[in-house]
Amino acid sequence: MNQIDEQKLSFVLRHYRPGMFDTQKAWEKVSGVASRRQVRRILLWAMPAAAALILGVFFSWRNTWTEYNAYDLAQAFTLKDGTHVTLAPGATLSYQPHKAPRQVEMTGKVHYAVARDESHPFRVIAPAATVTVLGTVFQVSEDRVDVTEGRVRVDGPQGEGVVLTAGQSALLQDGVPTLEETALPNPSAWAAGVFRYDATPLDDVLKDLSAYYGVSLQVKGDSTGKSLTGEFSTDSLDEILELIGLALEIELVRE
Amino acid sequence: MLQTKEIETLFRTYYRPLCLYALHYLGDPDAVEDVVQESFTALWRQENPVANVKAWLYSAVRNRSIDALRRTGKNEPLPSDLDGLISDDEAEDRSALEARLWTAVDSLPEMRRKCLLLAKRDGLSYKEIADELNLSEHTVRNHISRALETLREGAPQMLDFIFSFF
Repeated sequence: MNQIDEQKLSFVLRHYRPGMFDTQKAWEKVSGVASRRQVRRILLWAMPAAAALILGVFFSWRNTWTEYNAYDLAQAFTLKDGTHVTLAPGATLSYQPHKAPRQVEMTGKVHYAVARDESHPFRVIAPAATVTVLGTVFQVSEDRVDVTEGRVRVDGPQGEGVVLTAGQSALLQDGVPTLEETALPNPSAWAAGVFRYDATPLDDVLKDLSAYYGVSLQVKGDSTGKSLTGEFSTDSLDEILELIGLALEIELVRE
Repeated sequence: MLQTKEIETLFRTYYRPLCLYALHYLGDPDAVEDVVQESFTALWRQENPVANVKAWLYSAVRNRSIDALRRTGKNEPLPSDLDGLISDDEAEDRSALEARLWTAVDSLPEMRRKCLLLAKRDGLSYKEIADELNLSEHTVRNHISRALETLREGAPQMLDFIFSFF
């Protein structure tokens, strides 16, 4: 390291504080501000319509549906019972907070951290299956269910069901949920922002990162037999790519 | 107007380098994050297309930093520790490298980072660090030299990674 770089290092060390300049946290703050601004704009022109609805809403209060959408970013919401949901881009979730606070209908991919309530099971009605839980962390998409904590029951439309515990996944095909042997490495990385790999084949890693960042990643050269072990949080995709590239002596390109 | 996804990609690429860039002007990490976040919000609101987004961001952060300095009554709107003037390109490269070093320091094992900061930031001697952390001087010296070694190898390798080949 030459003298200039020593200068940079001492500048960084002089000001360094743990947890400062956290890209993920800052992004959540900035994008949150932006989406609130959009909502306000929509409300402005939706105002007359909303006024007309008030009477109707008053009478059907108990039956009201609350609907959440995520457009081009993952969005997190807290339901009335304290359950946290994170919607992947394109997902929708709706429920009746007053009539049935523990039953939701959804499309797309949604991550759940369900508030525990032994006497009231939480039910997710997805296009391909119904998932019933007490209190746990899991995610449901159009074709699969992945469980991170606790235990859930997955029922297909014809009534066949499987029970999943932490770390297990079910595939939803032709209306029958089946236990999947090789689960995706990080089914919920997009919601939590942390990737963990344990001797994971490079191809699976790239699939994972592509899905998270919404880009297409390709290897220049031979990727057969290469695998990755470790953990990192998602800060900069470029850094991650450079890092994997250096370590495995390959070149990764995004398209 | 830029799409949310495009802004997110820019944010993930330039947020930390811009923070380091602003830090040269402001010298106060707390003030820095507001300035950089406001600049991104301003970019988001831009109705007209921006030709060179990176240059736009750097100059927005620079202008806002100088404004912030003026507001606090400091009449020294120049980067505090530059050896003379450096070009915009050099300043941008420097910030990118410093951002990597910052990430690297972030990823050091906790004890190594503590020892390194006590020595290089706070100017404590090995003996003083050893007393403070209840370690032997030998261990302290080890932690610091390992930490510097990691930092000197180049930023990307610094994330705590184990790779295996089969």
